Amino acid sequence: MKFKIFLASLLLFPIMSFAAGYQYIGSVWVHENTSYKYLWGYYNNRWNTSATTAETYIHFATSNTDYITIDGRGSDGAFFSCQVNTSNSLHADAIELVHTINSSAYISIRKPATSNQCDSIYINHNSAYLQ
Amino acid sequence: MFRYFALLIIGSVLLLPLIGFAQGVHTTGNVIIEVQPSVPVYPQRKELLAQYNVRWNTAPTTYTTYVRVYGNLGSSVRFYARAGNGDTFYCYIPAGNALYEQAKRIRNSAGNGSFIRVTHMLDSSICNGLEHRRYSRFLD
Repeated sequence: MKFKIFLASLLLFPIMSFAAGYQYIGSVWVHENTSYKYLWGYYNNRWNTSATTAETYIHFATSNTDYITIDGRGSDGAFFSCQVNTSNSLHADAIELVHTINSSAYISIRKPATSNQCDSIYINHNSAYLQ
Repeated sequence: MFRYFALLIIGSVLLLPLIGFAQGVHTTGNVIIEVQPSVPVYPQRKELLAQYNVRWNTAPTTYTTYVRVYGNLGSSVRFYARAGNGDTFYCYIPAGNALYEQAKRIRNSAGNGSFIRVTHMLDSSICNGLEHRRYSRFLD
């Protein structure tokens, strides 16, 4: 009887033994089609140790001239870069993001194929993406 | 003489736990989702209490837990979380809402050290309460 309980406990163990905090270490991807170019990525790619063709990164920057540059490199080696000028409707929000984005961030950035202006910026600060 | 010396050593070892606090207070994070008040005497609200350092909480739960604040720049800010018993929390703040500027700042900056408290009424998905605290004790 005790052996059966022991056996049942072993079988149930994987169902009940999740760690509380969900954890995910991501990468960076660059993709393009005829209309748009995209950058998707996790800031925690910094700690991703799986082998890739190229070293990955994401970079937000602002300068004295007040325009914002967002660039990155995907795991296949492709580069992405776009800018947010002061006339861009996303500028005020994006400039704050430069100063506050952190290691729990996932981002998705889009730019039209015919322009260097970012036209869509998505941000997700998720506890699961902390290192 | 040796006996007194031995007693001094033993006494010091016994007293060590009383004076050996680490300087920095640390609290492991959690995700708590609850309905308040528990009895529907008044209109009820759903409440989320969460620390970002739940990421490093290793206590076993039925479901993995997390909290996230997300959205497109210029659009609604959304809050989502899952507690250890599988309960989920979701609400959003549309552009133009009185809490939108505050919500944007939370979306743009929440991270390690953050504690957030968010509420919405049970009959609405629009958040009606926001709190963002950054505690040293919630860093991991």
